[in-house]
Amino acid sequence: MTAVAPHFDAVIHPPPRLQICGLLAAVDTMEFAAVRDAVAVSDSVLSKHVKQLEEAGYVQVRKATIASRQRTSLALTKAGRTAFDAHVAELRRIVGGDPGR
Amino acid sequence: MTDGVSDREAAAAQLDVLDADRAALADRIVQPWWWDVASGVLFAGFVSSYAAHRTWVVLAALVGYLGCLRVLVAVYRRRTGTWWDARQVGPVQERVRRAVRWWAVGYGVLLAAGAAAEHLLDLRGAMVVVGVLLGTTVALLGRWVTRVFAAGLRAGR
Repeated sequence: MTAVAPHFDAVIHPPPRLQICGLLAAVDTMEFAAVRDAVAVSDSVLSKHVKQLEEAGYVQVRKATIASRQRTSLALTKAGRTAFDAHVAELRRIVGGDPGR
Repeated sequence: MTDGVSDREAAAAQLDVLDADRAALADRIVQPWWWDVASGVLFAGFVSSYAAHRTWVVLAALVGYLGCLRVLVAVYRRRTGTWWDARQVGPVQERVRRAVRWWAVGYGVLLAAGAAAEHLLDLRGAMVVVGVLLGTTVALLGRWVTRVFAAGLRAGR
């Protein structure tokens, strides 16, 4: 990861959204159900947070029908990755720049 | 956020949650051993098809290989709920890129040597040997990439 300037992001800051971005930052795509299980929230709560991240241009939502079942996958956009990295850098700055984190 | 001890504690708690999520993700993304074996066997089968000395056999093997690869990808996505390319995302991108570059060099050398032996020296079956060697490296490389990727996630890098 390249160094980014710390920047507090109000869209990413609420805990479920920070968790969603943290998971998506580590992969290319993640299924909606897998994110829901990892964050431990209901479908509707996750949908609400994903919608806000999508409106901010941070998350891309893709729907595909596989074997007659609709599957929704989520991915962090380039802007989302940049914003997430900057927000995490800000958290680290607040904590005191502990390089072990 | 305003400054103060509570902000520092809140920020530390959020970073801890991110670390915990990544550690849980590391457990989730590891594919079963047979997935790597299947991936290696498929690749070995495709490369070995060059030993047939018939274009249609190679083309049929390529189509079969790509079709089976697609199924393997779908199985992985369904089991883990994720897809990732460790060269592009995650904590060990440069390390994996370097390993894949070296693998590609070895792949090119082995393939050229096998093709020369099979087609120029007429050593029948040389491409089968090369296919088995390359298939084994594909399986081992896939396993190694997942291991270092998961370890990087657990380390919180």
